[in-house]
Amino acid sequence: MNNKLFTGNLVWLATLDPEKDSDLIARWGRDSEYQRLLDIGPAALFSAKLVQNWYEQVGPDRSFMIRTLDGDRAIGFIELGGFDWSARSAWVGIGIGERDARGKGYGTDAMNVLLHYAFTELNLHRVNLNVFSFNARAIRSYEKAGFKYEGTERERIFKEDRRWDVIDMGILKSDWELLHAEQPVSIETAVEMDA
Amino acid sequence: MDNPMLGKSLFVGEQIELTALDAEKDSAIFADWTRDPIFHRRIFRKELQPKPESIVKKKLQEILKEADEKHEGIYFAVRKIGSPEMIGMVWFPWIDAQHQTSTLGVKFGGDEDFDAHAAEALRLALYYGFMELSLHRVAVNARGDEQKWLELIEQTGFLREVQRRENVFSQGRYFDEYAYALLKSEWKQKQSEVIA
Repeated sequence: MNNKLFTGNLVWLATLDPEKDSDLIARWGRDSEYQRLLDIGPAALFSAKLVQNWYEQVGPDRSFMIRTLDGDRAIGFIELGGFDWSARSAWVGIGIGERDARGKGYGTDAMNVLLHYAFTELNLHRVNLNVFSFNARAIRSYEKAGFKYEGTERERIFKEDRRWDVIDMGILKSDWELLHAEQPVSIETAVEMDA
Repeated sequence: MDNPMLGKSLFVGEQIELTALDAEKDSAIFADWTRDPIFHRRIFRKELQPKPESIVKKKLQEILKEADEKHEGIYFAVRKIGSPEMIGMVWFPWIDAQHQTSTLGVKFGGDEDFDAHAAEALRLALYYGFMELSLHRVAVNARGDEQKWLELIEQTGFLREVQRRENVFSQGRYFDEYAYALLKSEWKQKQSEVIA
């Protein structure tokens, strides 16, 4: 079930199961701060059943639950979607739903695992993300994972009666390889796959 | 007294007009345009897959139905005044009413039509976007090899906000993809400069 490809230093990525995981994902949504960090749309509440339907019908192609290696606790999710198979690019989304798990490096570790999967298994050339200007913690995490700043969409968000920017970041496979040539890859190549 | 809500057409320009996109009548031309990698990507957001007229007809019906039901998209066919042939398209594929923003697409079938009419089409589209859709911000995409389009949007006052490195693959190589935007305040400033 688990294997090295999807295992980092602090977390491992479990395949998201809409049937099993939607209760927890719906519960995270009760935290409006979490929703504002995660999504540009209006914070809204959905039943576990609707969350499940969304994942089954229109959710991203590849979704994972982030689980701690210590205690095997589900603390968030990470997903890859919006693939362009000629440019070999995709968009990543990540959320740490458990408040006490934020700011501890779990997200950065999960991103490292996901990028390893994206570049060495899916053979992507590039991974994109958007982050809101008021989410400094996430921006630092993405920089650590190797994403580079590529621009600012001015006044893209209108909430709290004012406008906020959206930051665009991207990482090329070559950026990622260079980063890990300097900082040896912490994730071992999945030579031994569990049967 | 002048009533600013009346007396000015949002749709009719000097040489061209914005008209309804017609799934029946415009599907042959649209199908031809799906062979253009840039247009295909902006409409379908996927790798190039040219589509025959019969499929395009259905796709257009779906697109127009969804735009009507969800109020998130607006599509216009550009025609020379009095002529039935679609020479271009102007569309707002993703109107985000909550944040008063949208992306905008502009397409012309031929280079001559682009040279002659793209500026006017963009002018009509921006007036419609800011004054009818009440947008705060209009964004457009461009690729490094779209010389005429880049010139037009930069002249119009769009600012390059994002450079996604090597995010497009075409003609055997990677291109950077640019995202530009124009804020309503900047557009109004530009209007007053043009008038003055």
